[in-house]
Amino acid sequence: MAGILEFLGDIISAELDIFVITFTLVVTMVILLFLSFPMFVPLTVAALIGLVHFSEIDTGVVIQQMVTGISPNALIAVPMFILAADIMARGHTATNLLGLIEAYFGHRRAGLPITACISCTLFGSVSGSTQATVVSIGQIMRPKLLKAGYKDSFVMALIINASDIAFLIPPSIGMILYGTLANTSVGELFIAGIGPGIVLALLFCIYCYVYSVMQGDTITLIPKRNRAERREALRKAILPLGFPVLIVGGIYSGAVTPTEAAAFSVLYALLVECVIYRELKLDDVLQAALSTGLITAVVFILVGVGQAFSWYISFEQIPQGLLELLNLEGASQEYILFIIALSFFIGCMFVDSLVVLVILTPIFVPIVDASGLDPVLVGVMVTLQMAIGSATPPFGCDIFTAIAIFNRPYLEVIRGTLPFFIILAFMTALLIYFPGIALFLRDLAAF
Amino acid sequence: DTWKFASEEDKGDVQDIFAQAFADSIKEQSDGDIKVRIYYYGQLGTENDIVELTSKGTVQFVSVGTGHLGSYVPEAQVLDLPYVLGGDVDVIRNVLTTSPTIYEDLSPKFEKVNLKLLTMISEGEMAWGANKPLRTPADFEGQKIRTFTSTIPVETFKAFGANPTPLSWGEVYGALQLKTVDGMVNPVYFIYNAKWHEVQDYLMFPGQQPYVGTVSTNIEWFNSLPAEEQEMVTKAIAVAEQAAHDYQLEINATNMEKIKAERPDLQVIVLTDEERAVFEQLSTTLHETFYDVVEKAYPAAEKDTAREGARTILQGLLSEVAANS
Amino acid sequence: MKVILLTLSRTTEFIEKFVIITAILLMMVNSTANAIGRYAFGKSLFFSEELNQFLIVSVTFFGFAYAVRKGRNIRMTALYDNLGLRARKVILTVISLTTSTLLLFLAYQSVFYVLEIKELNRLSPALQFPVYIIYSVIPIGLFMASLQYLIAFIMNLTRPGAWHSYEIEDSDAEDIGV
Ligand code: NA
Ligand code: NA
Repeated sequence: MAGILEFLGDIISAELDIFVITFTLVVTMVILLFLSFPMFVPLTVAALIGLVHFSEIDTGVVIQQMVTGISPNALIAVPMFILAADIMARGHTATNLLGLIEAYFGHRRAGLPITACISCTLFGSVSGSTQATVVSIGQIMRPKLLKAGYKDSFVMALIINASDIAFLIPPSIGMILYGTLANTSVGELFIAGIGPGIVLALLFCIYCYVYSVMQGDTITLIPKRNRAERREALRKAILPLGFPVLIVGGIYSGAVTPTEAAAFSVLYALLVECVIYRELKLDDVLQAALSTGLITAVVFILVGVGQAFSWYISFEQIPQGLLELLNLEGASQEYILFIIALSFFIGCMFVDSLVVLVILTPIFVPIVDASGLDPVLVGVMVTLQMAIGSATPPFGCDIFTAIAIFNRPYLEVIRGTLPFFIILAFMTALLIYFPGIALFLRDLAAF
Repeated sequence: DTWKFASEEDKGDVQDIFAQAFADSIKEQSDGDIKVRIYYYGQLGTENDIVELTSKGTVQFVSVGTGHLGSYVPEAQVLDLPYVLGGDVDVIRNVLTTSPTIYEDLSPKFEKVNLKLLTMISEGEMAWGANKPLRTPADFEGQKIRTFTSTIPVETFKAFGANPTPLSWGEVYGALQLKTVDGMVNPVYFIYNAKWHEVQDYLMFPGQQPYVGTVSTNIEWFNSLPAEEQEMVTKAIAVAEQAAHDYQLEINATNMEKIKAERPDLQVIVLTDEERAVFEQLSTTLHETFYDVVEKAYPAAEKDTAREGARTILQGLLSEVAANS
Repeated sequence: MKVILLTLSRTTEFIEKFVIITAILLMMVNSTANAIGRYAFGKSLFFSEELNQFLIVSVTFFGFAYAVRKGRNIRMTALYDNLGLRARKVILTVISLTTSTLLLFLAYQSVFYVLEIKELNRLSPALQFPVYIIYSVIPIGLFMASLQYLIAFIMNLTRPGAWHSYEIEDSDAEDIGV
């Protein structure tokens, strides 16, 4: 009791002790978070309490660091990929990609859910945004799956989780942000995400198959397509399939940097949807740009205040102090990777994965550097946790998207997620013990 | 008491060695009463941020290259001009630590932004990296050379005949490997640490200029210190300058050895006096660029004085280097 | 009075939209032009990176004000979603007032930051352009966002229902992320 009072006394008298500061800031953030304040408020208030109450520093630094947070050139890729995804989601791209997979796999057992899964992966590989994937593939696939007799809980969980593969497959907004925060090559991260993304898609497909066999009596199969239909589907999908070729090819041929590849993907999307398909009008493009700007701003304001917050904690050298407790110095690489994965996973349970990324990355960067862990591997691991976080309750932005577009209650949307979660946890373990899944392609590309 | 020292470089880089030696010396002189807390690259934001934080007094000491400082003290870019300091180690050190031009003419310009210049350090000669030998301006033709984005380096490589290409730090390795750009310019120790030697076939030593770091403090804060603490700072700066100088020589030499060991096929070219003379001649056209850059930073009424001041500084520095050689 | 407010709201919304759309499209043009210039003609736009940074600052702060107007934000609503209308209204009233105050404080701080940068005479390295002019969008954006929350606060006090902003009632609000 006396200890608690003394601790409260330390808080009030602004004792410059990292445990007192950490406790105060964390409690403040958690309270504001649960009161449902917009996410930038808890971060800003915590930073201000630190600056004013504990460290007595001029608060102008908050503004300076907000600007610093959003200034790295690589971040330009974020709005560019969002815009490309938005244009594609408004147009024909999703339909055509999906038509291709369905034409070849639709008639088989588990054909439809596997089509949904691979289509999400493919669309994820042409767009940087998981939410665009949920919206565009999810809206088309869900009615088909329901009609074939799949349970809605399974269908929604599948769409949400398969869409999150978009995090791992390039282009990936999570990877761009990680690369910026950890000063790691975005190009290397992109290529290292491909392996785990494919493995994950495979594991999901296997689960779809097992599920279909178990629920076999209620599920109907769709008719097989003939050769002409397949050829037509392939023809329609060629243009959308140009996206991954353009992005990955453009970057690895040296023609463009990842940032520029993002800008070109917008140009390509415009060309395909406006000029070739003639699906979109100028007004649609302006609307897409507006919506892109809005989403970018909401994310970047967070990146900015996140930078201000992490500026404060590194000014008082709080991460170093806290991590001494975890005994990470000299620990095995697997252990460190596990701790990083766990920290991100726990963070993502409660807060948007981008917020977690912004706060935790600067804390772990020095440890990763000292441990000799490959920062690219860590980046892939972190991205995987972000993907898990976006699809798992309680807080998951893709769950919210699904609630909004499918118009189903929260509990129903998350009911079927457990098997997917188990697969994702298994994937985490795979990545810890077989880092080659991620690094193999990167090393092959001789980076 | 805890003083805060922010550096633009990573742990183990020359500026960090300077900061560590400075911290040790202060600790020793004050019998442990004063601690110096060091912040590395990125911990407190960008190069611009740490300069501004020092100007405001949130941080007491800052070490940063002349290129970044140029956004605040345009005259400091005199040290970014090619073939002003040249390539002689002793001449460079002598000028950077004792030059009347630097400490009497340039130093007052720091005060406008609330800084006091304490010392300058060389981090080693800037080498050109490329995939072909670069001996003449004709060799530079069509070469995309990654440079820092500011006017002086961009115009320098334009004058040499190259296509200067700005590129952010993290993208350089990939861009060199994939030939998005052809070359870059940096001190050897840095090239090795960034592993850029893996993706370049030639290193040229043109005797053009060193990478110059500046160390400054918040002037109001410094003036408010008791005389004995000011004395401590001055002494610690001298100790740290010596440590950074020794380290710079050592690390550039060892990293050059490592580069040769890892890339035995990599060609090292030291430009001959005649070859240098050609570039040196081209460099004189940049003197006007420098005056323009300085003039541009001042309001209309002060432009003429500013240009004149820039001329005094550049000409003063040129004659001091000549006298030292 | 109401007409003035409505006109003001429409005008600022138009400005926000104009800045956001122009900046996003310019970013694309600027980045692709730089790559084409470098790849095809061996010439980079040396100011490309700087221009992009200015554009992103504008998008962030004007877009933020616009997002607040549209009631779009990242929030943790696990508890909130289980509350009744009355409790939600109380919470939104508190949130809109405190957030408005916080943003007003940040806007005030950013005025000082901009003035400081002006005083330091900081110039952008490539274009040699005074940085404070670009950073002036920061206080404007923060102030407009603060104003939106203030309007939401007044709406919550004077009208039935729970409001995120002038236009957006609680039931219409969307959460977003990436
Ligand atoms: Na993706
Ligand atoms: Na989550």
